[in-house]
Amino acid sequence: MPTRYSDPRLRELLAAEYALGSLRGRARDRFRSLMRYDRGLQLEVAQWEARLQPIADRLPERQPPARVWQTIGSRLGHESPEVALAATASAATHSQPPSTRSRWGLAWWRGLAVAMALSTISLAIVLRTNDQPATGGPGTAAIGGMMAILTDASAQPTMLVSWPMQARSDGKVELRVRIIMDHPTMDANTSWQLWLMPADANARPQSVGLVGIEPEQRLLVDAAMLKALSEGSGMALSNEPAGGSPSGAPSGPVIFRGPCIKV
Amino acid sequence: MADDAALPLPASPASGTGSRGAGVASGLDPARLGDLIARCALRDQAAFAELYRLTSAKLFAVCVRILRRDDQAEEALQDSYVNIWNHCADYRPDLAAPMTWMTSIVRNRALDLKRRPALEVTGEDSDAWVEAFADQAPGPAEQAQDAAAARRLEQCLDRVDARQRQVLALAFTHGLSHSELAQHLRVPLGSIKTWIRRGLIRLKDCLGGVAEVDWR
Repeated sequence: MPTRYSDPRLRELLAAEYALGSLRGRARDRFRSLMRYDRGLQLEVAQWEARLQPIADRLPERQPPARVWQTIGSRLGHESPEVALAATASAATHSQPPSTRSRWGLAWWRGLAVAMALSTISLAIVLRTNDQPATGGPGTAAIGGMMAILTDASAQPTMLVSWPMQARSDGKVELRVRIIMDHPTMDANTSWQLWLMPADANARPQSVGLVGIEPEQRLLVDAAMLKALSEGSGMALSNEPAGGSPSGAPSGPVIFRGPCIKV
Repeated sequence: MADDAALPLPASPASGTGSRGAGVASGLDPARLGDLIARCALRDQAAFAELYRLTSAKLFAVCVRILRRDDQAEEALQDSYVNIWNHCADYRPDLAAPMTWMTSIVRNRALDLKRRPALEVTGEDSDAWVEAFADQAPGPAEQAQDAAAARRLEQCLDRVDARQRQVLALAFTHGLSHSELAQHLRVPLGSIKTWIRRGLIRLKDCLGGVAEVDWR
């Protein structure tokens, strides 16, 4: 594949279509990750964006409503967003209907559709994780793991978490976290905290750990958590103060969530 | 909720809403925007508020065109300014003028959020900006720093085949994909791809390499 992208004419056409906006979907994602480490492509795109900018300049202005600015301010922590936090956090921990399907609703199905598309990758991740020698003797299931596809409020898939059903030889369980959204941004002075939602909707979510915005990450948890992980109904990511929730329970808004599924 | 606790946003000084192209001359002095972005990188919230006041109406227009729904456009705008604040330290003045940099963040976010095809794009609508170039008497935009670039683009677009021009316009302003364009214009996908490619090549041949960013 990399050789295809060394053709200067193709590179330029892709850069132009990226700037124009007609390069879409997975091709756009691929181009974006290619561009990340390619100064030449960055420059090419920047030139096309500059060429086309007069079009955007000429659009008649439109004043956004005042609430847009207020939300931006509260998202950036420029003011105390406590009210919103409390509301979302309690919605996340309580008041969930029992059935998984209705609990996750449409977002779940959309997530699943994407999971289908990503299944090769995620399965590979799970299998690779499972390649590592386990503590169990022969006869322990060599294949089998779980994953959670998290989506944002608008049902866009954002994050993929996968883990094996076994601990490693050092007694840790390794979870792979893959950020699949395009522009992950973390608000200033906050941390992202990943939570396991227990099967019992009334039980408290368990913290899995803090997550960054890098595309590929690993989290290690104690083998003691394996049972809970294998029975978990879903995962959620909340915005917390830097360093994680002080209380041990989600205190900030849940921004991504999704059910756990066996693979 | 918590409306009263919101950040103070400087009132816009008698900016008539909706006036075509007014923003270009009134506040979008690139050097000033560049300065504000630099101050944002130093976590200056007042500079960020000023940046928002000067640019949000322009950028909201970009979102609305692409997403065609106000709620989604608002979401895209919010996400974009959060991104702008978080990434202003990465802004490279040698690579892009401030407004170009911000527009690309906004367009990318809007395109990401756009999942459903824009169904009713009227032909009239899609030609609006092309006409804006053709019809506009010298106005405020002509005094802007980028007036020369705008005129050059206008002349070059005139040389592009009409169908190619329309396809480029729809792709850029409305964020239509190849297949959406094919559907909307009722032509085969292959033709769309060819028109886009030819249109872009003509445009580039005409515009040439972009001169060094000369906004300072």
